[in-house]
Amino acid sequence: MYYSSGNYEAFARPEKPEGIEHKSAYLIGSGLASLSAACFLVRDAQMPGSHVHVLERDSRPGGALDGDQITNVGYVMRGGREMDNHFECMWDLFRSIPSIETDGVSVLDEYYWLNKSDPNYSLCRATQNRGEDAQTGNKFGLSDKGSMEIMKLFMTPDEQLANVKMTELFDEEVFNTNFWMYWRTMFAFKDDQSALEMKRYMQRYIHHIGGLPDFTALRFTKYNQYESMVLPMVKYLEEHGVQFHYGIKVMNVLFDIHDGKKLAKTIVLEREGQAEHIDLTENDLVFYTNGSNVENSTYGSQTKATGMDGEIHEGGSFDLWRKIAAQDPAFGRPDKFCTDPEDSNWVSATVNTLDERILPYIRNICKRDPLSGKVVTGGIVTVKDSSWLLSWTINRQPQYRDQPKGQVLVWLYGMFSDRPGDFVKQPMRDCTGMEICEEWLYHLGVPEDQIEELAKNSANTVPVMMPFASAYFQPRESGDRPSVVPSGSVNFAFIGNFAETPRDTVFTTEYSIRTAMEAVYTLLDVDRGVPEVWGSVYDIRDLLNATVALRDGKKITDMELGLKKRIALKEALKKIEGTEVEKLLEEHEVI
Amino acid sequence: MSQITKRALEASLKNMLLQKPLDKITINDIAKDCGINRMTFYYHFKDIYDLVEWSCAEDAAKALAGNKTYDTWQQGFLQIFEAVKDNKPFIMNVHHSVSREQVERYLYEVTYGLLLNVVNEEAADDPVSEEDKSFIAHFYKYAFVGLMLDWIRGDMKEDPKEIVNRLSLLMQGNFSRALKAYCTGEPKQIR
Repeated sequence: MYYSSGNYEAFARPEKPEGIEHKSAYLIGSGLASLSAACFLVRDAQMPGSHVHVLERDSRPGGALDGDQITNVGYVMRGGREMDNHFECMWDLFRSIPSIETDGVSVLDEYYWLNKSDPNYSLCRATQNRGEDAQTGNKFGLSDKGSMEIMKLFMTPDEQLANVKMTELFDEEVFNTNFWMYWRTMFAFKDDQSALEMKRYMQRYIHHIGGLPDFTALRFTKYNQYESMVLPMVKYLEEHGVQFHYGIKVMNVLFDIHDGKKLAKTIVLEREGQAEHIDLTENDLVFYTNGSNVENSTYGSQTKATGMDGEIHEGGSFDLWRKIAAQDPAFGRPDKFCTDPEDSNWVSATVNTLDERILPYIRNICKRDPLSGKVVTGGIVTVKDSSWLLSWTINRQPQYRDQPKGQVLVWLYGMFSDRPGDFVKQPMRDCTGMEICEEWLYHLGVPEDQIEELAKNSANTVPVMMPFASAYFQPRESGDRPSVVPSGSVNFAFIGNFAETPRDTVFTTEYSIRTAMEAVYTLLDVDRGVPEVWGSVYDIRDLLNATVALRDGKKITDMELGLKKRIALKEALKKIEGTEVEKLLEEHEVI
Repeated sequence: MSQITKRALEASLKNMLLQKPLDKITINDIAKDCGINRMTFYYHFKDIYDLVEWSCAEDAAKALAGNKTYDTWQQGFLQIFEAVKDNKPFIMNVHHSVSREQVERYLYEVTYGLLLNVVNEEAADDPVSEEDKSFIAHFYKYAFVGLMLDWIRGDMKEDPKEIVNRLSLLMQGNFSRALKAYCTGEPKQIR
């Protein structure tokens, strides 16, 4: 496996790897990583589809990418994904997956056209005082000191960031700014989480810093991701004969490890309570999604609270990872991620408006018609002064193909599920759907005497507690996450957001797809480049733009500097006078 | 817990084929022979025919291992004969059943691979299009496999060496003659 960039590799098709007819693949889990691995196996490794087996515990595919409709409970999406134009592996894949909506076009075409004709941007990024625009003015509001703290993180080598929390590097000069409000709510980062991952994010999305405050950087699928991403992939795979096995609980994978070689030899599983096993040879490859951020999701309803289950249970994804990790130090350290649910949890809820009565309050904030079928909030709206730290969003409606006309699906989440609300005086995790809706309506500015009635009769709200939602961001060091293909592995790869690949950022759809692509290309020896993580961090233009954007457009020549530094800057500017460097700095409004 | 891999299932299939025809063999028979439950079969193969196909491909690969050059195409072809003969009960049975096509397809595939290699080596210095090379390999593929199918139908009585010797005489110089006919210009001196 090697990385590449540019059109030469992008448009090339790899030759069929030798001996592929003699190989089979077992994918543990059917989330985005597994489905992508299956697609790359079929498309690029050209493995016969019938040799690809997907083993899934649930009765349907998709993992965390959901878009559920529970009988007698209602519509519920645990999360929503925002995509970037430089999700290189994602677009490499989706150009080949046929749309299930329109004949003859790909999922990429469909997505590209949609986001071209209806581009995303926000008209109100945050509110305060019950429905007032927080007037962030698209500014970051960082002081020189705050900017320097961020710069310092940007420049610190990874080794020095082992297990470091952001609270060890940043103070209120960062935490009390719009910058941090945008950042932590958009990515669901908590202050005490991994500085290492924060740095990766800064570097990975340096080209989007300017588009961060108003979300011009983002793009969205047409429907929920189950319908827009999972279903087309599953259809593509089924048409290629890929075998889906549901109701399969994988309990362990047994390895034969000696002389530096690691061979997965048996998959131990349970089906309908019966123990079974799949024995493997070196020609049977295993792609394993280790861990899950929707582990132990508990669903509430309009009248039922979610509660929280932070225990690790036998047969769950973290339990399996523990059993595998116990067999070799190269298989990672799951406990770094799954032992602090109080920190990693959040609660999300899907509010289904049933009539027109809530809509004016929404319109008042996002300044758009929620029923237009086009961009509505254009990304999340954060309630700055909410004790749960609520953020909510309305994507293009309908979000489900069968959603009734005139109804709107709102997705919201709170980062602090253990704090009492501002209207509903109890922790989010103890609230029914209706109570969560009340808290949200309160922050929309609905008069207090109407709140209960609207939450009861004009909406149906389904909450979900995810104890490990942001477990990806727990402080970590090298070795906590296993490499995609650990050294010496003959037939086994880790994929998904708890596997390690250099430079890319977790809690993204791209990360699932990238690790899948790297795993398939490595184990099957597919001779074509995997697109490298977009190299904006090495592009001087992007660096200059980001520097200026972080300072809300202020030039470095306007920086408050001591006498010595001022003289030094003057000297430096004199040196570049009349050169390309000066021109470049001027073009990017650095000076 | 003994290991039950695809190879074990293949062995069971071949074992069952000594007892009854393919279309009478059920997944249960194979599972019982292997000592596994029926569902485990599906973790390896979609159905019996998927297993048959896999077995054919495995045997073919074994037969061809390392014999892909012009000097030894005769040997490669002979080894296909021998592999087929070694698996006589399997091949005869499969060939007499509904999956006759599978055997033929696998023979075509293997033979085509062998012949294309020969053609490519012979054509190393000549400007002949890939399409034409592939056409030549396909043409001879039918002749070669035809001989083999006849031999199978005749219960594999004839000595494969005889067949290959005769074929070898007939084919002498044929590939290069065919390639010349399709040549699109002067043979390349420098590659």
